[in-house]
Amino acid sequence: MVAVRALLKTRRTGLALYGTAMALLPLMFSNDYYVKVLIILGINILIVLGLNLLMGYAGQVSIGHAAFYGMGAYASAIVTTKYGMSPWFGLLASIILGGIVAYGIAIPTLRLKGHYLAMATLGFAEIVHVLFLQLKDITGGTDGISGISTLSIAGFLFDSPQKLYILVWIVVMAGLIISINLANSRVGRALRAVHGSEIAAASMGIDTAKYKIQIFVLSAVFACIGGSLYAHMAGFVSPDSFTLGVSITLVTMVVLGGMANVWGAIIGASTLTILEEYLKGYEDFNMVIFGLILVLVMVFMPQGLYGAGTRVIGLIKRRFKLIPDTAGEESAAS
Amino acid sequence: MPLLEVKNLCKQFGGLTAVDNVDFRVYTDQIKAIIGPNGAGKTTVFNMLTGVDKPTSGKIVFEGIDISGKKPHVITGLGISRTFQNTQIFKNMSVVENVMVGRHIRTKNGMLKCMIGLRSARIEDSESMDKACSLLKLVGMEKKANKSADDLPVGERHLLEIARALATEPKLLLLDEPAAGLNNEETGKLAEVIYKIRGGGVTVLLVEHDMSLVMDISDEVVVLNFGEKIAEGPPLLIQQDGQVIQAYLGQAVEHA
Amino acid sequence: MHFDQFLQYLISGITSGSIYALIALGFTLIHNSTKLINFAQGEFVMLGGLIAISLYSAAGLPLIIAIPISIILVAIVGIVFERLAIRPLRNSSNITLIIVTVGVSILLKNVAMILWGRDPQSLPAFTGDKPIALFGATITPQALWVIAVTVITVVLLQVFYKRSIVGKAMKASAINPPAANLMGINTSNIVMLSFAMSAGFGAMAGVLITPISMTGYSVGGFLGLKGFAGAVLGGLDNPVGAVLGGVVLGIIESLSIGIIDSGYKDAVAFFILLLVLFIRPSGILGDKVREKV
Repeated sequence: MVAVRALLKTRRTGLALYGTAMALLPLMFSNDYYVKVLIILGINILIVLGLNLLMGYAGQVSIGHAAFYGMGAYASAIVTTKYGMSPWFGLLASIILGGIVAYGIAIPTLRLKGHYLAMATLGFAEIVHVLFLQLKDITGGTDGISGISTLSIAGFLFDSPQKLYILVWIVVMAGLIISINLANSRVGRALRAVHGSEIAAASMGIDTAKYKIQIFVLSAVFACIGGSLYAHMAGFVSPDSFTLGVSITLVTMVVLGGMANVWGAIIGASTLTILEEYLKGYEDFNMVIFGLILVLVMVFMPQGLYGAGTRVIGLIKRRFKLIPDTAGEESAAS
Repeated sequence: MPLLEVKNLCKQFGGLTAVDNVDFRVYTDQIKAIIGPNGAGKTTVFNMLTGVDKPTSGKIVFEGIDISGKKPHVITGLGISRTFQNTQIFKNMSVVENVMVGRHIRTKNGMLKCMIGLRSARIEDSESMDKACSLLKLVGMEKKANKSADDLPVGERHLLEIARALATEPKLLLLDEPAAGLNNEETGKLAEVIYKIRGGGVTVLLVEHDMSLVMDISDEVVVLNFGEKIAEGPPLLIQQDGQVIQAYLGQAVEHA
Repeated sequence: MHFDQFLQYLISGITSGSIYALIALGFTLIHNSTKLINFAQGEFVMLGGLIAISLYSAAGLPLIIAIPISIILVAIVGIVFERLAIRPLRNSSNITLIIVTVGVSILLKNVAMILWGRDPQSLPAFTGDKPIALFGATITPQALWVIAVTVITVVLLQVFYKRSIVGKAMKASAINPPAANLMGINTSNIVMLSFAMSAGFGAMAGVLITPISMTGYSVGGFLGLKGFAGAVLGGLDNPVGAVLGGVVLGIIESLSIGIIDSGYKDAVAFFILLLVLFIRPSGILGDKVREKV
């Protein structure tokens, strides 16, 4: 129990440190462009946190989360531009749309395992992408939708990147706290049990189907919120932003950081978002490097950056006899 | 009334009959064993008792309720829990977390409460933790609580599965070859654990190949061969049963 | 729809269906030897087409030489892929393997973009492009090539499975790898061979389709997915089923253009894929699988 308390304490310290760092970060940049990058980073972190709960914890692969990201963005865009409603209704509409579609698709999809599930989510995302392109009356086809209004609270407009950043940052922190709480709770253990051995999980009384569906919906809602925030920041959405490549980038972020670890998700999303910015000038090499990262990480450090990092730290500590010689310290999740 | 009553249970996979018209009863506070050569259908019986496989025909009545064909998590809720022949521990968790998963069915905070981290969820969690620790103590693994389950040797995996199964507060515990991979000393410890479990008011039904263990601890033994029950009774009688001896010597058993 | 119109759609459906069938065959080969689904399958098709184009137009080789060299080179890519990325991970989890093949697919696709550029390119038809009239519809000689090569490949593959020692070994290791291993079959070589063959079939599909629909760096994704949809439709563990599934998918897709907007053509294939996955994931001719505890 003492060990558990200590763990809780480090968890809170980590959270507080990270929160403060995120809040101070935009002060370092006077340039709006960098703040926009930080907003994109926040959105990516939010989506990857959700996807990590689904993939890392529950062990269900989705190569289709760009579809939910896109649905969130389009729902916001359509509600605000076509019906002239408040952007908050847009956000609400994204969450509701994403939740319902995710629920509907989860019921048949999550009966599938492993590769089949991955392919099904991929197929689903491709259909959604075709719909973005083809339902021209609603989505504007390849041109997309522009003129999406910015968010505001009681007359306070989030009309500059700095202001919007605050909102995104609050949402990301909420997502982070939710993830951490969930990961170390009864439900989080049930999800990991489904990942570890579905048959044993069921034999422990876990309604595996129910939890798989719930976590799929939750991760989809995270992605939809991300999409909605994106739409209101960019003021413009088009099918190009929600392709298979985006789904794969999101998966890469989860894997690179280290699956089944909340901080891993943050590390993965941050590393790749920043790398993507750096590589903007060499657009052709961008995806080559992503592909290489995926393969190399899987072959050489399947635990991801977080896992590799903790292992290295463990080795150093052991080398200098800072802790007694025991294995398996890094097992407990975040 | 028996705790568990199995009536005319049959299971076919394609054209193959894995379990053929099997009957038996388990009474409260018994330790009962199912034995038989490989492929006799023992694990299939367990799979049907726990809802992993659906019976082709026949009935399974537990505490007066027909549970045949019910989903695994429902059956666990009613009070049957199990371990696995090829151990199915959660390698992605620590030892104590594995046992805490067993508390799932007896706790109730859902997704929303856990997400927000409500006080009730945290209180429930620390209760689960206490319970899990005491169960680890029961099987003699309290020192390994924070180790990764993946690092455990085979013998301890079986013990961990027992602790995890007990965490669901079963009335009936099914053990599928718990002594597989254990040395003599470990098997001795296992027998003690099983006695302790029965002492705690849990009925035990086990599948086991280790005959000395079975004959030592069981009150009654059911013998399966090619999916059929060929004998049932106290260990002493079973040991003298001609048909059983024949089946175990590997000779073809001539059915009438 | 008039009959001749219908026939025209049918012909083009069978043609693209044959391409899907070859790709589907690649999926079953790898799935049978490793139980994994290779997300990079479509990239073999793309590579086959593009390499043949370079050998033909840049190196000036005649088609009859350029084509086999291209197929062999892609088969080598398949072997290297297996050696470097799959073999080191053979004891890893499903997720790991899925992600590795996804990674390889992105890698191949984008390396191809750097090497060959963004514009799709073409090959001349193998034997001219004078259409042949057929009951009011027409069929191009290249389409005949596609269909004929696919049929011959499938027949040869069956003979290979039934008659040759290697083919039998492949079949045995698909059914029960440990047992096959005990019988002295080197299952790890079988896995490598299946990657080589699978890549080769993909390249063949790429070479065949290039004169009809051009090949660019990005065609692999959709072609791979459709091949997979075909394989799932017929049964992922059954080569004959996969081929039939591929052809049927091609026909449905082609006929759907006649009925609904062609913009939805790609969605049709994925819709069928989802439908089959949900209703009967083992496919029409596939075996049902059970998990052993």
